[in-house]
Amino acid sequence: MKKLINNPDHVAIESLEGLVLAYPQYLRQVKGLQSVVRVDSPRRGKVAILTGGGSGHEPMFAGYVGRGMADAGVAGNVFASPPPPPIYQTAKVAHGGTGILFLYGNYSGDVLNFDLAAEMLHTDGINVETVRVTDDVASAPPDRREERRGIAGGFFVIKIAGAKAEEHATLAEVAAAATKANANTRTMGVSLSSCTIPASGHPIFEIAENEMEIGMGIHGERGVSRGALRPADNIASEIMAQIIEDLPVPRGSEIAILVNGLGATPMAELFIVFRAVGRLLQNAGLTIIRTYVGNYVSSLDMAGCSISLMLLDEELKRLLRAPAECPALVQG
Amino acid sequence: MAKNEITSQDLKKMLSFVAGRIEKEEAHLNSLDAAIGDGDHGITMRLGFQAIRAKLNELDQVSMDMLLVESGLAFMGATGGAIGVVLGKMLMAAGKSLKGKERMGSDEFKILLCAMESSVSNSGKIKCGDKTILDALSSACQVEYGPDPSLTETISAAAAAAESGARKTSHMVCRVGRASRLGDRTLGHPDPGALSFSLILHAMADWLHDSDQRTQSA
Repeated sequence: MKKLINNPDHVAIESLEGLVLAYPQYLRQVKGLQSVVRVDSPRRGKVAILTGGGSGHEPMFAGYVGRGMADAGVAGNVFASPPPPPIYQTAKVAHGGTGILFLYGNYSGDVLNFDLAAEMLHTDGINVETVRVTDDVASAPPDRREERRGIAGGFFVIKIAGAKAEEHATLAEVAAAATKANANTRTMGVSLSSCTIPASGHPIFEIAENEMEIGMGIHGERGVSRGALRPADNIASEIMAQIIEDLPVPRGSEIAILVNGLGATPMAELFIVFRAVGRLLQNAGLTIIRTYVGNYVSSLDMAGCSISLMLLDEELKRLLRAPAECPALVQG
Repeated sequence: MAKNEITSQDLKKMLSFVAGRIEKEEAHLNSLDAAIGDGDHGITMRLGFQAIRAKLNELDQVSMDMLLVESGLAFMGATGGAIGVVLGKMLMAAGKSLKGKERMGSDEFKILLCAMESSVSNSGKIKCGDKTILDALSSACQVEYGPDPSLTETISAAAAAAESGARKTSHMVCRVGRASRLGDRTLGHPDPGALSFSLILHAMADWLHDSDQRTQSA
């Protein structure tokens, strides 16, 4: 294992400190905690959006803290949810008096810790709503959609909720927009390699040099099929077929697309994947309102990518196009 | 004669001893976790018990219940993840069961075990057979002891039962947590959290045995 690190136990905090030092115009670290808030927090009268989860998925989560996006991001250790106290304390710093939306991926560790933090905030009289991202088609069948885990589609959900909150919507309205964005988003990924947690130094699972696994989760959870590596065009069409089967998208629909790198895949390959995806969608008579290609939600040094599709209505389209300024996304 | 009770000073030394044992088991626990998870359970346990040890060093003249409650908070705060909440709450529940007690003997320990079990099962999120720490904990709670066991005998029996409960998780398919996504792939491997719990009890029993011997030779 070769890593650009100092101490394997300090990866999460040192990475976060570097992010804050790089982007002081957008965010600041909460004193003594492994978390960040918008530089102008708390915004009085605006619903605060707090996101978070295990480290190792950079730029998720702290990289999406800024104007038109999240107000706070709390980082756990690598691939482990943050504990309740920093979630609670960070929420108190970001709270602008009109409630907090917890927005995170649906993993049992995160649910346990964020729920406990929400209880603590309720005790203080602060309103908290929770929306869990469940975009991963491969993680459970459609009739158990609420059990699905959250992966790259969380980027869309934060974008939509962040823009809604910026319009000074109420907590219920922001939560409703986030819920709708999640319901309209589907993701599936393909992994070509494992990844290595710095503190353990070993790959978290085995996959042969010539193999790929479609639908694998961002922590190596089992996907839908493992087999020999195929050309990018074939992989893209298989993934898109699974997504469209799960979320029927009528001809003429407007959509957003994210082709997301998992950490060790060159941008050139991501564009090759998007080339296939874009052509497929054009042939299906769909209009892409906005495309994102890049490392938006990574998985340490895993090779591979995921494709996320969000079906838009007028509200989602407006919120998607709204301005955003944070370390990992600047759009006017 | 086996020792029948410990004080808060003893408990503090015992917890430090347990912390040292868990830290030594880091690589072993990582390799167990690698089979069904992301291979970092040993790291998590080490970080949690290092935090407990640091907290214990700060605490002076503290009651038994607060030693455990503070240990639970320290563990939860240092680790995160599901195990942080579950084991953190178990330690806090263990502490609350000792409120007002100046000593812990066999009876207090049995009550403490039940309190820990309730803290997990009352959440409603985990059941026996889900392949979690609860499978080791429930086995420990169901031990039938001989007449009037000493604390050392009680904890030793609970540790053996917890270990057997943990080993049985090899035959279970994980139904909760991130490993549940692996389904049948989890068969044949024990749950690392359950084994960690049996390691904690074994370390406590070992500390008591050594302590009993020190008392005898004194």
